[in-house]
Amino acid sequence: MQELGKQQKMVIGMVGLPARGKTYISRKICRYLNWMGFKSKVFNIGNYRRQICGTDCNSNFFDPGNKDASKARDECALLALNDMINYLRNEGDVSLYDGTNTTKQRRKLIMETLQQKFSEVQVFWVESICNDEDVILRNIQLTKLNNPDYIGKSSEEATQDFQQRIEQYTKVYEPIDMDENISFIKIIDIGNDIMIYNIQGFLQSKLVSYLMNLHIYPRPIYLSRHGESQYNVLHKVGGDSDLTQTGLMYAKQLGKYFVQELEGNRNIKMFTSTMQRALHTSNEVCELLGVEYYSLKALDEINPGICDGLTYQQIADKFPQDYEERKMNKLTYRYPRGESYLDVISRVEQIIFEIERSRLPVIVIAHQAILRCLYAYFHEHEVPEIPKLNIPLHQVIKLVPAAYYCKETRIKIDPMTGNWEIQDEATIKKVKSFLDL
Amino acid sequence: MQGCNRSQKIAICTVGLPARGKTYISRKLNRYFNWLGYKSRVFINGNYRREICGTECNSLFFDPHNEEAQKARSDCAKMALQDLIQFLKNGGDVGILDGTNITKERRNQIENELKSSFNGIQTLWIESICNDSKVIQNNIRLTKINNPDYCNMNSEQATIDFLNRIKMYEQIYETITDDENLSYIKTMNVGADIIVHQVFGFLLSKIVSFIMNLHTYPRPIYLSRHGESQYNVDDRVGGDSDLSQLGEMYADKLADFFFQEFPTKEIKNEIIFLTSTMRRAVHTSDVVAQKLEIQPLQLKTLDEINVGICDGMTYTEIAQKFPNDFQERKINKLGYRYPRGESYLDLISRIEPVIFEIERSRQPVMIIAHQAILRCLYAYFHQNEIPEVPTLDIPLHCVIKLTPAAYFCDEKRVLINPQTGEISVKEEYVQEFVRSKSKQKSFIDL
Repeated sequence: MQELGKQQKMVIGMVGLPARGKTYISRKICRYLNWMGFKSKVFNIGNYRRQICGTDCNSNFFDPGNKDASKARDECALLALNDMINYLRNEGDVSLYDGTNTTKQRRKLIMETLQQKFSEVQVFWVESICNDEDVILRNIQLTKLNNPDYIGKSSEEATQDFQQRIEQYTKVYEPIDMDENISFIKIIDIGNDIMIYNIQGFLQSKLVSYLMNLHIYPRPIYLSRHGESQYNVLHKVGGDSDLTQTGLMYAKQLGKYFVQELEGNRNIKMFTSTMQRALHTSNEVCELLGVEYYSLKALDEINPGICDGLTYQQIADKFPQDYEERKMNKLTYRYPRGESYLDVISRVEQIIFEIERSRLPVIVIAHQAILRCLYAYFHEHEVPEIPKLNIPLHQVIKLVPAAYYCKETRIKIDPMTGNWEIQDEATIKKVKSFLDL
Repeated sequence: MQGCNRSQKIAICTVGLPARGKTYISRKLNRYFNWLGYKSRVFINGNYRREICGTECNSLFFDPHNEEAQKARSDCAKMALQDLIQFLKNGGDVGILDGTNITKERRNQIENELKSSFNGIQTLWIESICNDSKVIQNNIRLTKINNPDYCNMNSEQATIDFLNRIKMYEQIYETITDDENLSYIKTMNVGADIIVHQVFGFLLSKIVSFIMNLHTYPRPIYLSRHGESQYNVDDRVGGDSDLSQLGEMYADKLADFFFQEFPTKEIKNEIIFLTSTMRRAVHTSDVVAQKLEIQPLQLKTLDEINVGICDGMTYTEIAQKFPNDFQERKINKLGYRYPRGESYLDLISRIEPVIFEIERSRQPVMIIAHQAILRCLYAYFHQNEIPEVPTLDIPLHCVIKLTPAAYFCDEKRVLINPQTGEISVKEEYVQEFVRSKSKQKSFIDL
């Protein structure tokens, strides 16, 4: 959904002690904004510190009494701030300032610097507070131990040092106060308590809704297209054709796959579209599983307007200009009387919220264009790549969100034999450079 | 999002001193849920008290030391709660208890009663806190003075008595604390500041978003259809036809009307101007845009209802070619979905994000769109029931100006003659209590 008014550039500042999920949250927000069409980037202060001060910093470096170190850390913070402002001046819409920012003084410095250098920017703060020792320990184990700061150290040493680092920060921690006069959201204990103050504008409001739906339950998301349809065989677009024999067989095999995969767990959420090929596929699955599905028009395939029922060849013959236009810009091209991929992304947003919010496993049986959008969101692809993503028939994509990435597994199911072929694809997301998170 | 999670019952209870917007929030939420397809109803403590104890209650009635009055009030509150429980047991999805509920003891009683009456009910407490005396005065002026409690007093007397009533409540006010173990939302400063505690679940997180965006700014919403189109002339449905000559003339006159309506540049720049992506709407909007020097935002979500396989046909042709569908649609115009097309219910779901955005906006909104779409938008803001949506009267060449206020919606219809530019205005100011007096027998049934 686009903003109705004029949207200013925005800086989102994170606040919180180490291991409170700030980087997790900022990356999620960044993902969501980019997917919605707002160019966003995360600027992680820790990365700047590592680049400039090196990675050999033990917890003493973070002692607020250590004047040299404090000066160095302030410089890093300002460097990151400058880069952030440049990004917004040039191509960016939203910058995320991912750092602890735990003192009123630091936050004030940032607000004043921004006022001075870039006064037209909106600033929104996200504070993550966590008092659950188990969660904190788990965060440390999942994300800190592989951190460059601790290369060559044992995990006990690293954990201990990191906990000491947290203590250094705790000495000077000042949670956001209402009299600082800033717009903020405080998330306490992973959403058990939320405090919202002085929210302004469309984007902040949407972000608050988004953040309220986040959690860290590692529930799996299964995406599959309907079984082969008659139009698939004829290479026609659009239509509301039914499954072929092969497609029907896939549907049954898909059901068997889920019976085995879910191991007796029937507490799941299943979504499908209102089109015959998806409904009939879902019916087969649900019969075997004994669950119900939600049929949503929002999951219907992209509407090809006047090209409905034509093959690509026929489209090229009848509407050569449109055919060229679509080739050049498949993302924004809108079929006359139909939709574009951007329209689909907008349409599918409510489903994204549903899936994010769900703590139960989610199964989505839908269509190629729809799944391209959903997959791109969860697997962090750039929006322009969406129209070319590979989502073939007769394949289940299993996504399990982990700390900073999504583990992906693809299961090819042969409709005839029912054999599975599992592909463990890109389980670790490539990170080009820690600076480029 | 319709259809999800219908199994669990939800009870929402308000908390707060008088004139803090509890009834406003309850009614807005009630409207929103009904709109989303949930069976929802508000049970107002105050109404039960009025029915049973009469309306001649001055502030002394609310003195916490007045034992007789206290008992009467407590009985009324119990009745409201029982009716809510019955409603949920008989097919209701969401029950909203609108009352002050300012003591821990009262809240505890209600929570226990609700939890013990149902196997798995979600309860949510919404506390509205406001310390801005200007806002409170304004609330009193807008909503209390015309309240049946004060029909025999002038506005000064009524205000003084009401402020005394508030003082009575203040003596025993206990704000919600975490140890009460309730799921709650505290809203302060008319939604600018919100605290959320232990609120989970689909509907509940939707509620928070909704409350965050509520305000009482009386900003106008202008709705108009595109000018007459070619298909209108031929009596055809669907299509993407252009304006007829008459339609073009309307676009001109419409631009003139808006030009008069928004005289200054500041006001013009404030307007949120929306239209669809279909030719007839775009061309109408372009004419207006040029005259006002502002740009419309073209939203596909505002495109007319998709009539699927019936696209391009007249109603007679549809009746001949698809007699079964024609009958079906006559019987159930709301739920009937054109094959490969949409139903009104789909439309309602489709435009929800736009409604949300309009609710949130404090600036004037101008929408040039289509009949079915405007029926949905109109119904939402004018608080019509959903079954009425498919038959609402939204004629061509007419601007509908809605000004939603606390408990009602002002409506003004401006019929513009496309040829002569002649304007005829129809105003409808409906005061909620007046309307309910004539239509309903009891206040309990608001």
